[in-house]
Amino acid sequence: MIHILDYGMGNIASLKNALEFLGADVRITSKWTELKKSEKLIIPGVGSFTTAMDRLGQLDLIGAIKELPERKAPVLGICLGMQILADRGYEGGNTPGLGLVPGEVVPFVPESSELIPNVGFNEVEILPTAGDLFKEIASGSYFYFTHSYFFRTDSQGSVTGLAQNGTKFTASVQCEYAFGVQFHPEISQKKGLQLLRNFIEL
Amino acid sequence: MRKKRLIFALLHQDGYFVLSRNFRLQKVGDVNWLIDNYNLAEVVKSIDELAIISVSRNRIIHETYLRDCEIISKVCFTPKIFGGGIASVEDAKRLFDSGADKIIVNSLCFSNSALVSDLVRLFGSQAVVGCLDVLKDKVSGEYKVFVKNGSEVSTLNLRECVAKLDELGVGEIMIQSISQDGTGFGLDLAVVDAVVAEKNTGSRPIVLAGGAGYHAHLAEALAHPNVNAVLTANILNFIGDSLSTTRRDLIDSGIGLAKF
Repeated sequence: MIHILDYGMGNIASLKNALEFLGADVRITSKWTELKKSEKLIIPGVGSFTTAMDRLGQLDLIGAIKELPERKAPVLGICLGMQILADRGYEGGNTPGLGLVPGEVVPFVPESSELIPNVGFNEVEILPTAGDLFKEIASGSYFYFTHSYFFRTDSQGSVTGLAQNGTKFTASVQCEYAFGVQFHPEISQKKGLQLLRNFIEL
Repeated sequence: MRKKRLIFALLHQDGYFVLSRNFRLQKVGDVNWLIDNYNLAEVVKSIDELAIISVSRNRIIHETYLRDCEIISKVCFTPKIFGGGIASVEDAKRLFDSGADKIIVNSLCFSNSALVSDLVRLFGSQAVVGCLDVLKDKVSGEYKVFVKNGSEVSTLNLRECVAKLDELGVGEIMIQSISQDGTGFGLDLAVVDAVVAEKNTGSRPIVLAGGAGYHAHLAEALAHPNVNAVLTANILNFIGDSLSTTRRDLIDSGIGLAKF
């Protein structure tokens, strides 16, 4: 069973539809008691970093989420859900994140960015560090992005994919059992479905 | 390089999908027809985004509309834009719950701009598309903006309307040409030049709609530097595998579309 975290940040209908289309047993939850037992978790999200962490704090979910990768239960963050895996974020304040993947989340700046927000299908350069999450997905495949902040990290080993918005930015990360994708696989046509299938099969 | 987008629109009216010609509507079938006979799940694999617009005459979010959006969302894994008749935050929530990734607002930008600001704040600017219906005045040659499903002329001119969308913070601006609508005579590129000349669109993508009948129209419009996306509702021109062929031809002719 895959849990989708519902913490009031953006819509989860598209994600649920895609997972169910692939035959997954999906359950939406916002309870720490369920997360304690969860085998696999997807953290979706659209909105600001600080609001997201505040919500997780109010729902008392931070500890339960951090335990999942520790007990080898895969966690996949999508878009804002990927960003909050970082140590820190600067959207809506200067806020500690979940600290599951080293890095911080900073805004695109007009001087070096083609587009803010970065919206649309973009090619993703998949790096040799990418594991089974990108199985059967060729480097250069297109995924749908919509974001104004990006994941900056000095931990090159955690970066599994890159994309371009004027300059290169982190499109995906992995730190053992914590996975993150800046794009939306649930609305990225068949390559996106393949990535979700890979997560289901992890 | 930023990719251009091909957006496919379905118009929904009280339980049926319809085609529009100069804003007059013809029934084509229900959601089952669309999925079974039209093979929608396959067709959407060749487009960047799917729009499902409610054109219900009573201008409300109809239950059958939400139901059909939900059914289609289960077989369509590309960004989806829903709208037509949004009158409250609750309406917008219902659209997102039915599978929308973005919503589209039109007259609402002028009749209840506070609500549009709320929608942008609550769901993010990337999730709100602002649409203007325009018609070129045959005498003056100036573009007029229409509201209320094309039934009334706005008191604001084109410049003021674009400024309003900018102020409201919508993520994208869609321009729909009433005179070209459903004609298949080609898209109105002059209106894009007129809008861009106002210099107040920010860095927002411009979506052009109305009049695309054939591959050549899409190619011509997508090649325009200020057109980021073309929306077409002329579905009967794209039966069988013609949409996938069209996409491939556009890519071959140098249009920067994503390769799925």
